Amino acid sequence: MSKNNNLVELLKNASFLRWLKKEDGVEESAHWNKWQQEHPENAQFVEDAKMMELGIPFKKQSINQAKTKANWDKLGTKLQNATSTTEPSIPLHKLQSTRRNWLKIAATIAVVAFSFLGISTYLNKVERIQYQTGYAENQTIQLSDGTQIILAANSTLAYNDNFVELDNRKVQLSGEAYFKVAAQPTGKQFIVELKDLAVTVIGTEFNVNSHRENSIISLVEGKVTLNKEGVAEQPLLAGQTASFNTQTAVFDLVNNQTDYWADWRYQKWSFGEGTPMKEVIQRIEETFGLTVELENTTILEKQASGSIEIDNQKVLFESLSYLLNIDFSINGSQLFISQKVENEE
Amino acid sequence: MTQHNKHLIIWKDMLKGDLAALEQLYSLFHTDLYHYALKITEQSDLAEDAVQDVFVDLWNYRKQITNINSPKFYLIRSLRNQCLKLIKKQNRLTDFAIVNPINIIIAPAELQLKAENDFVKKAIETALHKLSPRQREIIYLKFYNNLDYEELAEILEINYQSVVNHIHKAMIKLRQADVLQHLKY
Repeated sequence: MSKNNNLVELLKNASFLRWLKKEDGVEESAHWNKWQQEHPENAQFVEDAKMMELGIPFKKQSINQAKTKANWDKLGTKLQNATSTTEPSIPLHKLQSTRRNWLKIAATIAVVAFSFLGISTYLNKVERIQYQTGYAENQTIQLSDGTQIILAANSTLAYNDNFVELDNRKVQLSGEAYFKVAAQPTGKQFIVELKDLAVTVIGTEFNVNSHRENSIISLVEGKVTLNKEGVAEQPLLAGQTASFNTQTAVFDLVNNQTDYWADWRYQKWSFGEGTPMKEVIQRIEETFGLTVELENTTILEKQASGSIEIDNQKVLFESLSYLLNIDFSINGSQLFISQKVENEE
Repeated sequence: MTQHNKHLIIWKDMLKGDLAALEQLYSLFHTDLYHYALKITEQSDLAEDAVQDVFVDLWNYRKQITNINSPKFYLIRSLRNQCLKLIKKQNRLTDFAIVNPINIIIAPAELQLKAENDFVKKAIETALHKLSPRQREIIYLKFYNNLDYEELAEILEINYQSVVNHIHKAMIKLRQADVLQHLKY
């Protein structure tokens, strides 16, 4: 950066700047002309410094007296009303959240499911129970042992309703769900069966995402073991997230990502610092069942961080559009993402 | 008397509690401030609110303001902070933190050009679009508002060297894209 250090020094030098702008006196002029001759290697600096001083010429907006006056009159009223400690007023904004009361809906479904469960036990038959969620829809499922399962969008949970007879409680999941498993009687296990592996539980809270080729398990509380045929069982500790890497044939473990994987149950997505755009897109695809198409690959260079509410698809897309400076257009099940086109002022 | 000294005298009167001086400052700087606020917020009502808030705060807290050499610099710095605050409030349903939420756009139509033809405009638009958001904001503040490097460093909360580097790199990019030859100085 020594080259730019020189440039920095030169641009701080008032005499040099006067010379550049040809506002210098005779002596100064002679000094800098001599300097330029003695240091021909500085020709590039001088050229760059000139370019930087000239910059780019803007058309100046002329003052609109009438508009300024009208605005001042408005301001005058504000100043008269203002006491010295008032907070500046905040305008109503267009992104008002209209929180969908999904909990109520989920509760109703759970009640309906319960009565169904009751009848089937009464008839003493092994009943296959299945829950399925649509896109952008969650469902809370309460099992008779107190286990709570929140089924994420576009997912299916199924089990045979013969828990009492069997040693272990087994449920099958495709898609994504958050499990809050009640403590099991001694000798019994709660098992979540996925397409590629099984999670064995002894009272705990965790998230499972099996949308992707390799299921991703995030343990929020307690302890589970991951079981895969032909591989040693993998214990998972609270705060860890794991998936089975088919290439290396071992489990990949990361820490501190459970919020990222499991916060959808609070109707929000939590992105860690610098979450790649690819991940955001995958979430959108999984949750809304949309196929994403990109205008160009530079969109993939964008990063997200922080958390964002997802209970209203329209608000979510508006926020993402604003914050990542991208535009969305939906055509059937296709979501097209492009760089934001700015309106001319 | 230079423009700058004239501004300082009005500023000092305002600090003493002269409401007419505040109005003078308002009419002197409203247009430039609104222009910048609109670029940041992209919403005219929000931009006007931000400018008004800056003047309300200036008036309310005038007794705490000391050692200001440039009223314009002070107002632009306050305005930028106010805009960021309003943007944040507007998006309070997400606590999304983006490192630099300011991404101002400079349109070719805003520049003085030797010839107004679509081909040149398109080339300039493309070149400006390829600058980083930070580079665009810095060259806007530097060349539209004539702020100096030290003031830019303070407004953007980066060091002097970075400001110089940003402008240097931006101008080199524009030179390489053959933009400079079309500009009318």
